[in-house]
Amino acid sequence: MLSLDRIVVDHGKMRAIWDVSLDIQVGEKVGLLGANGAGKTTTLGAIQGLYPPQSGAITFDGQPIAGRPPAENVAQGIALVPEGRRLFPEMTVRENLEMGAYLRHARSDLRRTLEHILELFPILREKAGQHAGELSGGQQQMVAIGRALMSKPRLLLLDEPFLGVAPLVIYDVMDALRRVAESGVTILLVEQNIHRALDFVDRAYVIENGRNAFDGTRERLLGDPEFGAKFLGLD
Amino acid sequence: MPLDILAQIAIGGVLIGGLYALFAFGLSLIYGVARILNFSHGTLLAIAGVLASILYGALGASPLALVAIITGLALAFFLFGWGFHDLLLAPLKRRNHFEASVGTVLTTVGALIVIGDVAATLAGPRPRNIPLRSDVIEIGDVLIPVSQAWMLAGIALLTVVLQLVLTRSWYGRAVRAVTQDHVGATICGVRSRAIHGITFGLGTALAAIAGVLYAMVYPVDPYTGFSLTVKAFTIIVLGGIGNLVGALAAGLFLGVAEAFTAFFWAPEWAPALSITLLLIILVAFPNGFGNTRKA
Ligand SMILES: Nc1ncnc2c1ncn2[C@@H]1O[C@H](COP(=O)(O)OP(=O)(O)O)[C@@H](O)[C@H]1O
Ligand SMILES: [Mg+2]
Repeated sequence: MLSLDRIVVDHGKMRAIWDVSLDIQVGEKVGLLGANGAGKTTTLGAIQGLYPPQSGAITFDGQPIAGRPPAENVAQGIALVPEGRRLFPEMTVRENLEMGAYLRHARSDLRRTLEHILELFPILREKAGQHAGELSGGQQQMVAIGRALMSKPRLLLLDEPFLGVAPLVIYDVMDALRRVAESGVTILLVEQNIHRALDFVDRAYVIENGRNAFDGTRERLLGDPEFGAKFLGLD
Repeated sequence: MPLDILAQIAIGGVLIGGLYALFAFGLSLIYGVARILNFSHGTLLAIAGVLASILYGALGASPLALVAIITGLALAFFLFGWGFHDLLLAPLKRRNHFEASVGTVLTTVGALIVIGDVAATLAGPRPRNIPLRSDVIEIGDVLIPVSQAWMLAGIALLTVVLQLVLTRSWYGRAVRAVTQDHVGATICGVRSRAIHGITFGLGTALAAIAGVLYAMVYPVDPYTGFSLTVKAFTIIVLGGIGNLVGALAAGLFLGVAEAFTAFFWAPEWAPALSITLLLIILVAFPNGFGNTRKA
């Protein structure tokens, strides 16, 4: 469904991604792991169209999409839950969610999709009229996920969706994400917490300093002594 | 001090304040969406006022002519603003931060100077207004000129329309979204280039409508504009970026304060008021107070 082939991405004069490749099949739950500054956010941004790559290919549904504008990618079924949530703090929860259906393909089904998301995150129904800026971290994260789902994506990119979420609420969010995955949405999850990530995904890519370092299924990664030493603090 | 005179001054202040608010909101929309401080905003108001005055004479001084002038100028200024942004301002964004900032100031200040001079050459530098009939409406002891009542009606109508557009239309919601978090808006599918241009046009159209309403009550000349721009800056600092209610409150406050300053002290001091206020706000309230809810 999605493949990145040796992409290179710069932020101004600084190179953030030197050489990253990955492949995701329809219906998979895949992790993109790595330390702070490894280039995870930049990779998701390149896929969504926020940071056009300097070179390399990005293919979605067999189409080359590198450098395509974000709006185009949203319309074709890619949605991003960005780092830091990026909500509209002085718009209501309902307005935030509805903005996710901004593009024409999503508008016609807006009511049904919204109802579906309020079933996924029932607490948002109570908060629908409140400003998003007034919610707790966990609730804001639910709005960010809900907003992304409002565009009816087939591929959902999640950038550290558990950051700033209270420990008990993390289970709710993870549960909801499992249900989203079961409904057929393909998921690429960026996480710094390796254990939590491997708990959720089928397999993962690990990047270091903008380059692929490891990849494989949960079992393979956990069984790899080099990976264990580097990322799980095992010797 | 007789009460009716105070009421008269207050009404005058409210009217001009409402006009300032609308006009400032145009600047606020543009800044909120495109992050451009348009220094020529007040000059565009003045030019619209001058044009309206000339057209009003040419079209036969009827209320219908006035409606046609407002509609026509709003449309023309919308297109002008959109073109101005897309041709001259948008290309600057591809440059580095320093060049983009200085380039934007130079372009909008340059526009202020050029537009003012061209208008003064073509239409003459003398102040003009739209001479409406000087009937008055009496409410108790308070007299309200019909021209001011029209101005009030215009302001009220436009405010309601703007509020509806901002809350009910997809365009308006996109404007608020871009203003509050442009990355968030981009990943919802809002195309920034288009919305920047359209919003620059809309803000410019608001300046044009405000210019026609202004010329119904006060004389304008092509060089009136910059002091109005300063007032608009004061209002958006007071009322918050992209905040229509805040702009109205700040505009009314400034208008009434100016009216009383002019009456009790001297009219020459009224313009200094906004500069003084702006400086006081910037120094004493470093975090502003328009955006207290910002997360
Ligand atoms: N907008 C930006 N401008 C300049 N450098 C950036 C920007 N975003 C990220 N970087 C740099 O790119 C590298 C990768 O960052 P990022 O993709 O955010 O990593 P991660 O998400 O894995 O923490 C880091 O060195 C970071 O400092
Ligand atoms: Mg990151």
